[in-house]
Amino acid sequence: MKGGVRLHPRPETALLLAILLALAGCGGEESAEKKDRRSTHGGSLVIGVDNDADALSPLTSTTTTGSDIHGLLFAALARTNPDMASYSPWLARSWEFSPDHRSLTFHLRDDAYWHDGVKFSAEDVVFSIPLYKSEKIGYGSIRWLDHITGVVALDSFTVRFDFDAVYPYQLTDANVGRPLPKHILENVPPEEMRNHPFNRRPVGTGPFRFGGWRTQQSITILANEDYFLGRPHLDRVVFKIVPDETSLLTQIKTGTIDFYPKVPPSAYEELLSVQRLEVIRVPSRVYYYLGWQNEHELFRDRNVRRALTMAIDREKIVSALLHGCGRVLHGPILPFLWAYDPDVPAIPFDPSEAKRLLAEAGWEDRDGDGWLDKDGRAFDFTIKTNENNDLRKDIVVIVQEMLANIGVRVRPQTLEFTVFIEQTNRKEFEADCHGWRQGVKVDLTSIWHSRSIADKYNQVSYSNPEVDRLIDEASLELDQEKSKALWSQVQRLIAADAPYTFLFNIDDLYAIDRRFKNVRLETYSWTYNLDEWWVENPETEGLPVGAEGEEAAGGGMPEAPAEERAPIAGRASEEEGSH
Amino acid sequence: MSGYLLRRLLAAVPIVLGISTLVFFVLHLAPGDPTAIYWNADADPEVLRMMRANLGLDDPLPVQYARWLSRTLRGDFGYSFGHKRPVAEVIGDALPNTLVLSLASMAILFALGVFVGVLSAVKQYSLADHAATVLTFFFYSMPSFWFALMLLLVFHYHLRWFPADQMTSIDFVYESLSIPGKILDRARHLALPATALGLGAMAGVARYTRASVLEVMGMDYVRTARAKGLPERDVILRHILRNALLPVITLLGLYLPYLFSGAVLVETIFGWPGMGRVTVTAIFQRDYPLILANTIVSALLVVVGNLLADAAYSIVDPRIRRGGGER
Repeated sequence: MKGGVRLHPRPETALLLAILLALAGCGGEESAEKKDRRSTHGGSLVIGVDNDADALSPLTSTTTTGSDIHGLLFAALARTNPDMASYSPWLARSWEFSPDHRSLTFHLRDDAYWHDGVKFSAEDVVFSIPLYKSEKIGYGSIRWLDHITGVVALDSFTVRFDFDAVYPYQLTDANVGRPLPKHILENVPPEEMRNHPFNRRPVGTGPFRFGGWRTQQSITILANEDYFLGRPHLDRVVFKIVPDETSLLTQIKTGTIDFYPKVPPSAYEELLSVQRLEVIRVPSRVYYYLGWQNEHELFRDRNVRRALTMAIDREKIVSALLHGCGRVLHGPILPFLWAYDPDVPAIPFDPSEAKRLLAEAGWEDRDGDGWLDKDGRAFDFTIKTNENNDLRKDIVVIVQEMLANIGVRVRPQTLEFTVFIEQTNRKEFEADCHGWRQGVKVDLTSIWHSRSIADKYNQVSYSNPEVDRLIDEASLELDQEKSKALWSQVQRLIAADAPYTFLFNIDDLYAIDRRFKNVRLETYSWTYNLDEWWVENPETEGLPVGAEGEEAAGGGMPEAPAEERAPIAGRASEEEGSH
Repeated sequence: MSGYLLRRLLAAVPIVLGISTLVFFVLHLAPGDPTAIYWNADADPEVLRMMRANLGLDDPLPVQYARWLSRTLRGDFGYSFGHKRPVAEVIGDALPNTLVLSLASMAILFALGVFVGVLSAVKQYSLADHAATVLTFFFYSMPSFWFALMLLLVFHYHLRWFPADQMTSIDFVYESLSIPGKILDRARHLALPATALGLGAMAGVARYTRASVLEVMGMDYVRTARAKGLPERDVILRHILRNALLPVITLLGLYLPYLFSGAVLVETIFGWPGMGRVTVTAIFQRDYPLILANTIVSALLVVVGNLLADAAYSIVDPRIRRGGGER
């Protein structure tokens, strides 16, 4: 069995083309094709990002800038397709499961090199996995590797992963920790790995190699001439660090930066009017919600939670705060995922029904002060959210207003991020305004299973035995159709219980200079095909690649065998983990 | 004199130690989880616990304090949680940049402030004096971040005279410049942030200079100088200015830490890679080792700034020089 691989038509054609070209040797047609492609090589892309990276190694980085970049520097065994359900070959040409589905064998490429010229082999994979599993290092997705009991190199280019369980995400889990160079990190003790210079001078196998890093200013990556799928078209990509949103907007308008991947919704209309720019909207992996502490006396009754949801006009929030760049959400799975059920019954906006439900639950304005009360207690609570997120703060204010209309009193409280995370993890809140970024796995265990109340992300203490049972069953179901039906039931149950008021799935807004072509921004990741982007009339053509200043990549890098490669488009990448 | 400075420097050691000890305990007692940077939906909460153990945050506070103190006394600031590299390296990257920015804006604010102050004192109640008064109060009352944004809008966005971000052009462009080209490039990048940072304080210096010059102008020796028939220029430069600047010089030492704190917003707006941004991020991330090291660095700067002011004072004022020598 081939692990449910479904090649996308595009990569498939590209791959086929590559093989044909390689076989054809140097036919006339091929060199014409080459020449044509070559003319699109060159140029620089300057990306404006709002924070610096912490590290550029997939093992240790915890920042978004860090993971965007190491996703381009390091290739994985298999490449996640934008549907987040299927995989394409990458460092591995193919893979198969054993008949009992407890081991997974990857057949690796024998023509992949580390950026310093050393050949990539199965030894690197065998070396890397224990690092990702090391508690001394604390890799973010460490629990994904729990079921991997061993990794064995069968020969230099064949590697086998052994599992202690059979479940649908075995391939994903085997693939999450991207191979690291054994020849560089071999003698580094795990406890030093977090502070090792490799984090600032990484060596990978991906389409781009490290160029330079000027702290708090810019990080440059360069085309990897020897990338096994063909060098990227662009010579270099610079991540320019601009911490201020106003400055970022000014710079995208003046052309100081070419690409701005986090345009705030409030600037959407304004940038649309800039001729030179293309503004692209892509549904993001992020959703916002209001979490009700289900164990709190105010929110224990599911009808109360439903009533609160009915009193909140979510369409209005989307149009007022997101300028329409998003969609109201009714359940815990985002629309772009295969397991999404579009027919989950929505809780409508209906303030009078909300009032009726609350009255039924005993909440009425008995003392005539304008607020509902019951047993001498007013319906009055605090919604916590964090600093540095204007959107969340605005949501809380609007919600305060909407709930006041039905006689429910909300006190907004804004906390510093670290304090907010600490308090929500300890369940020290009545209600919170928070968000999740959907990972690649459809797994509702850590947020919705009652087992996760004690010490995982079920912060609202949601507990429904039927949901628990269905989640457990769906998590082990190998047949995607069957598991889809199970996940559908889970979504309906959770939506009906309203442990959260699901608010919306927000769009990512990107602004890019129109000179850049072949830009494909995916929900999965905007870096997905960065190595296939090319630029019209690259201005900096002729500038030597690698002429970067401070902290240029290690000098005297041995050139890997520079045979002519079929100049097909290669593949960019993104990290499996998510933030 | 040097003995006096040395004594002052030694006296600073317990002060700096006391300040950082206080900050250490306040920080650790304040709410906020330093491992929140590891938080995301895919990362198991267990990772946060692992990191707390790995970073030694589970140990009792006195143990952590003893560990921190013994390391710090040996000159080792430890590793930054957020930057994942030695704290000394993080500061080594950022501190020179902030110093460049502060010194440049200090040069601007003193040159301009003294000039405007003298002008409006000498031409007291003239149109120039009134205009200067209005302008200086205007600059004085404006927050530096607003001013920074206005500079950005006018000189970068509309006129396109100056770049408005970072210390140099983007690296591959900068590297292709000649040496004079690089210097010019740096100066152009410095212009707006240094102005934004300096102008508010400039107003203070101007007001201060004006008052001081007016006071000195009423002194008997000025009248004597004039009576001797000295040219007005000599009177102003040699007799008035030298005496009037004495109190202004003390401002030098006081403004250094002020500029440091003002630099936070200006650095953020102009993308200047300095200490302000490092410190603010560190505080929000609860990056204990980095916050503590930054506390020590800025406490030292205050001490050094005051020392410099004292030294400068003794150079221009012979009375102090004599007095200082005897102590």
